[in-house]
Amino acid sequence: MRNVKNQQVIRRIADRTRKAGKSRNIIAVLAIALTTVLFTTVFTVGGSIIEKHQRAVMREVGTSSHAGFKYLTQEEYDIVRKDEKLKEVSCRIFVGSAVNRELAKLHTEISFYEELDARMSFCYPEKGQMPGKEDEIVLSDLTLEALGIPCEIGVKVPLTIQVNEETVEKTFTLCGYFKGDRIAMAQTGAVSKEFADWAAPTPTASAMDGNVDALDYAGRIMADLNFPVEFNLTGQVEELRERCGFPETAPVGINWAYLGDTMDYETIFLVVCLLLIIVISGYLIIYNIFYINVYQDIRYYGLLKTIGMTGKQLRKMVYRQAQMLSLWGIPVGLAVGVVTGKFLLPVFINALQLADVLDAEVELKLWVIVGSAVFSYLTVALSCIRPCRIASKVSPIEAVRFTEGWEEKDRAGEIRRGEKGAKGKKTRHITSWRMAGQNIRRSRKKVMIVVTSLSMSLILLNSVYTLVRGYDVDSFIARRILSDFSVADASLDSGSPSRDSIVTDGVTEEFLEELERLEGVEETGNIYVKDIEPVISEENYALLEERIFENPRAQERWAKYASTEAANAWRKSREMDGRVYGIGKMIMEKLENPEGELDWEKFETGDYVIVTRFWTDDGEGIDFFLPGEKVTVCNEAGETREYEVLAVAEIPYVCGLKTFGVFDCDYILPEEEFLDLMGEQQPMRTFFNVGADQEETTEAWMEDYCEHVNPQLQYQSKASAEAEFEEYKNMYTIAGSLLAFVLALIGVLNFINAMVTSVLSRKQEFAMMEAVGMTGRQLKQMLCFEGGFYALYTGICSIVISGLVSVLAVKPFGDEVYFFQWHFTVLPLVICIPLLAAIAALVPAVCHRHMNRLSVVERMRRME
Amino acid sequence: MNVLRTEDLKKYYGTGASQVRALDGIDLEVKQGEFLAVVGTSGSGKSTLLHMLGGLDRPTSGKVYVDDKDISGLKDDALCIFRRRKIGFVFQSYNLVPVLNVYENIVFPVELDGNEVDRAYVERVIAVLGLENRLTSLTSQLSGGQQQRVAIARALASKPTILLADEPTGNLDSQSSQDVLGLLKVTGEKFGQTIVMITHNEEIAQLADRIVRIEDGRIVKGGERDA
Repeated sequence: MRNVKNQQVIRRIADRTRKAGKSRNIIAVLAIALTTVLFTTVFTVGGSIIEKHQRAVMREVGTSSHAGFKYLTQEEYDIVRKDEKLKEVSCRIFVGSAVNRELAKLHTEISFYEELDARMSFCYPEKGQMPGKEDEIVLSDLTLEALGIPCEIGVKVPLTIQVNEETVEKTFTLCGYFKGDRIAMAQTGAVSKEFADWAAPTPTASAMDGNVDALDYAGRIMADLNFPVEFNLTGQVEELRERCGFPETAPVGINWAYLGDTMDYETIFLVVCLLLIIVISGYLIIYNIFYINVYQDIRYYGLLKTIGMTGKQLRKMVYRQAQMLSLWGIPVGLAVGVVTGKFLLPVFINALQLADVLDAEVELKLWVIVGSAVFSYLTVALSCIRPCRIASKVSPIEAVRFTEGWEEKDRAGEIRRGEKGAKGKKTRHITSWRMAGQNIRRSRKKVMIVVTSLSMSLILLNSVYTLVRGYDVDSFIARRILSDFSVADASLDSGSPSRDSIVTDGVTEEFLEELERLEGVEETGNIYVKDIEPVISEENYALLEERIFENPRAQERWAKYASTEAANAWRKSREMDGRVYGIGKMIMEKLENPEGELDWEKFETGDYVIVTRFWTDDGEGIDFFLPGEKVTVCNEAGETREYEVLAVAEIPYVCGLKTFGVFDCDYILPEEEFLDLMGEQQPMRTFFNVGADQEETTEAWMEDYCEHVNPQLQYQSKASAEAEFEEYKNMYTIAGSLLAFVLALIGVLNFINAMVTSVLSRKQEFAMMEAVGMTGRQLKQMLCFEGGFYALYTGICSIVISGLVSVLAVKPFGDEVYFFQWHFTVLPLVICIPLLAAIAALVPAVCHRHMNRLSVVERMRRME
Repeated sequence: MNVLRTEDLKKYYGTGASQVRALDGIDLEVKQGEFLAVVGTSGSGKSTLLHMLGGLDRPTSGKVYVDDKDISGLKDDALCIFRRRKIGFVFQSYNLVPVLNVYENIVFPVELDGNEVDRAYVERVIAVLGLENRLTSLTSQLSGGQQQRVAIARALASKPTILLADEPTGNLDSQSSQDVLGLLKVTGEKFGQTIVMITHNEEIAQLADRIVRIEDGRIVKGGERDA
């Protein structure tokens, strides 16, 4: 009771005190809101990307459930279903894969789904309903499209289903369909329970030993589970398994989407840095504002203490004011931040090349809002610590005499300095300049805060500029593209996780025919690939033993990528991984780091082969074979041919398969010889150059072709690479300059705040100086010089630190990408510092004019 | 009975040649219900003495007993609580809290302590000081004399052991000064309040039961009651 009462009185005086200072509240609320905007933007953009990424992984995996037990019998499923701690349990019964010829490229699994499971597995029909009758089926529009059947309820769908070792043929009736997802590992089809029971009765033999045969999947129950909370799924699954009494070998799967292993350390580091920058900048301004407010009110706090308010109560009172201001600032900041995030998200999604898998709608999750609010509030609380302490430590007597910067210990220092100065130096003329310098020294801490706050935005701006300027469009394009245009199957460069779904012979005959008819094409070149391991003779293997297996640098690389075991297995079986490429003249000329002569005429004869190198981790190549040695290449039928090594070289990154193995011992044959040996096949990629005047029309033609004629094909052009580059650059430019802008706003706000309060708090001092003969002009000059000092210190500070940051942080960060070339620059500073100086001189001048509205006598009287 | 007693109270500022001896061995005793005036010129140390008595500052050496309790060794917050329970202040510059109205100002120290306000008592005080019609006004709407009356009411509200007044009429014209001093004296008698008043004005000091004169940090006259 007692406590409650005195809380009330503190609350009352805190609220009344806050309400008494409207204009400064606006500044404080603005500062809190700005900080919140920064946090919310980061959380909204980051949160949306994480959320979307998680959803994309779920779509790929094919379920949103947390985890699942696989291949259960009915008996086992009943045990799981009765578990009371699970939030949701549902299941599907696997029947088989659809093996219609049309579905060869679109893996489609047929199962019976419970309704909940269908929803979790993204295959609940959007049109129509779940299968009820025996012959009813739900399929994705992708599957239907591949089958050449229209999306209409009631159409007949003949399917051939592989159930274990048997095939079942049946004509189903479409009772519903949903939108299929290309990134999913498999398309799904839902059939009735009746059909599932008939075609694939659930076996009674348990598969708990974990060694279930792929030919025994049919009829087994896949239980999908949702736990009450999303954390520690591995542990929860483990506990569940024990509760159910299943052995350790029980086949279970945890949805990767929830495992969160997609975050790498670099990203985490960047995020932490970003949050830290915001906390610091937020701290700087909020702290400064509260600090100044408390100092302005110090006599007031002293008075309160005199009449009996304890330090603790004073601290509570200041803190309460901050809390109430946050109540305004944080919601405003949240709202603005979400809107900013909405605008920024598409920029990031595009630049990070996630647009293929993610849409750009903001995902407003509760934790995004709560997280931003918590971080903002934390910053406010942090900023309050010292002002609270100052208020609580105020001495009732000192407070009455207080003027900023003349604390007891400072005074002692001042005296000491004064004595020393008097001994060492002659008396000098008093100038506005020197007085300004003295005044600045009176409140070092404040100067430090304002200078740091102003410098931060400049340093950031400079760093972003250095980074963005370093991105070199030519080296970006050179690495991206060998020719004006290149065409390949869309899956090739999609970064798809399943290697089997990559099409390596996707450039169609139709396209090549069209290309031949196309006007303005000056040069074309194809590259073919066959994923077939090299045949290595005993003699050659001895060479490899010596050159590769025994090479410590090779072993180092294997150790680093945890592939030592794999390498040893290859060694034991006397084999290697590698592929055979077939290339045209145009590609041969682009091969990198050739050793030996690259003579097309000689190469074309079909007697020669070009071999790639083994790459160590530090980017040095070790030759598998040397020019002049003989190697053997075989085709799928087992036919072998021997070739002499013409040269050693690398395939440019953009031409190749863009995946890496343990050795990558690749053989390169001329186009004709390749096709002769391997049999006719379509190229993996086709490159072509056009005349300069044809670039635009060709671009339009390609775009149309890849969009309408054959959507399976994807093209890359100089223009599209340039656009991609611009997007990447834009992300840094927009995000960086936005952050720099907000920081600059904070810095300037801080400066204005500092300047205004310093003028206000010295009103009487100025009046006194005017009274003894300092002219208004001199006074104004002195104030402008004071502002100038801030600008000067900021300039020095930002140039020095920017330089260090540029060398120590920006350069290593930029060097991570191959198209970055570091140049030292302080150009943004050179442009911004005069601007800053102008503001620094202007603000005091305005303050002075404002102050001068009252006469000297009036101002002096206010002293009392 | 002595409610206030000091023993060889000293307060020095600075060291060496520039040392200032604001108080240099003060022995003082104040009896329950007494109205004491401390007189001295500017710089004599009288304000420092008041600060020591009220627990606003700590002595360099010596002791201050209030209700037989030594306050010179108390910690900051303990001193603060001591102040709001045992001491009522009336300052030259009123020192009212501008954001609170008259009534809130009066009961503020009591409420800070978390205590129930003794309404009957406070109403009597308000009546004696003639503030009944001003209770909801903000302090900035009051004249100097009225503000000082509020300050006196505030000082009395917590029924302090001692009321300390530091030049209570320093900012007032002569008519208001008369009013305020009269009220101070009347309330002191009515509520049996011990009062220590500091002033440089001999005439004002005459109102007190006893006068102590202080010069260069020492009592030159009237230290012991029977002197």
